[in-house]
Amino acid sequence: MSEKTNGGSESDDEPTSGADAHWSQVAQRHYEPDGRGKLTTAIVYAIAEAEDVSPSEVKSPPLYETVDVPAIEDAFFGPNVSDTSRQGVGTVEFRYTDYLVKVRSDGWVQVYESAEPAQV
Amino acid sequence: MLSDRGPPEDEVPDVFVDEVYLQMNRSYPGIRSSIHVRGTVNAPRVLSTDMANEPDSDEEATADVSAPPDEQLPSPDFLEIEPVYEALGHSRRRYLCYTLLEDTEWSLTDLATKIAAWENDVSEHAVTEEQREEVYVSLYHAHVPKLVDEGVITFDEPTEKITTAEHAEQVLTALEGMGASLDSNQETHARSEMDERED
Repeated sequence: MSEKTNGGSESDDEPTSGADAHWSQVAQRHYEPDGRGKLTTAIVYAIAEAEDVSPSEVKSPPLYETVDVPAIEDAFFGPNVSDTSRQGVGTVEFRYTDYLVKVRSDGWVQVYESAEPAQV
Repeated sequence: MLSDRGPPEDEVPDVFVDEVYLQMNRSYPGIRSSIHVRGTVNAPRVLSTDMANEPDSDEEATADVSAPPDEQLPSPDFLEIEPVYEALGHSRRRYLCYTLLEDTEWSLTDLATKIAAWENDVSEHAVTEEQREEVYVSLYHAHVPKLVDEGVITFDEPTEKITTAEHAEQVLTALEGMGASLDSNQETHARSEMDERED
């Protein structure tokens, strides 16, 4: 509505990243900010659900090498971020292997896979 | 910085700055980087000393020691202290470093079990698979690569073995200086903040 940047769509049902790719959500997980730096595990657990493996089997690459998770945690869930401002629609999205991962400021971590290849 | 009280910044006497530096350096070796922020106070003095020397080739070597041209850059001391702060900046990394005091080589699974036991205040046998896995994941995806980046540990991907690296010694020295002992209150120490130690 008010903000449209970098292909990030506001609609929850049909998010797009880039003009040509079509993404469908395969997993999501709600992250409860507790100030203990657990966003990394929340993201990995969501990816594990998408891959249908146990979280410790999500291996390469380490998330550390993909995205600066503590920076996202500070920006969205830091001690100075009030609960009301987190009701907005801030979203960080990044690629992890074949997946598109979105971290929303309301705490939802969503994993999408490309709908192009027929992956059953 | 719009204070209308007190002397302007450039009237702060050098003696004062040096005194503060000495005090801070005594408690926190390597903290001088923060002094560099206001280091412009000292800079003219250092420069004039430098210019007083004849540009003799023999004396140039000694002049370099006292007043290098890139004086504003962080000192080597600071660069060496940074891994300490980074390594100890999260409770799980502190736990991990504590275990390195005990042994210099660990498997990732053993580490995860040990840290989960500390965090949940149970014995290692009582750690559940869920608790272990949660710690394992955060070590693998966040804390271990961070400590590898800081040169505190190395991580062998195929065997998942962690061993100490070149910066481990200063981190472990700092931990010991904070009162670490292996047989008592490890969790209390690991949880406590660095700035609790004043002297």
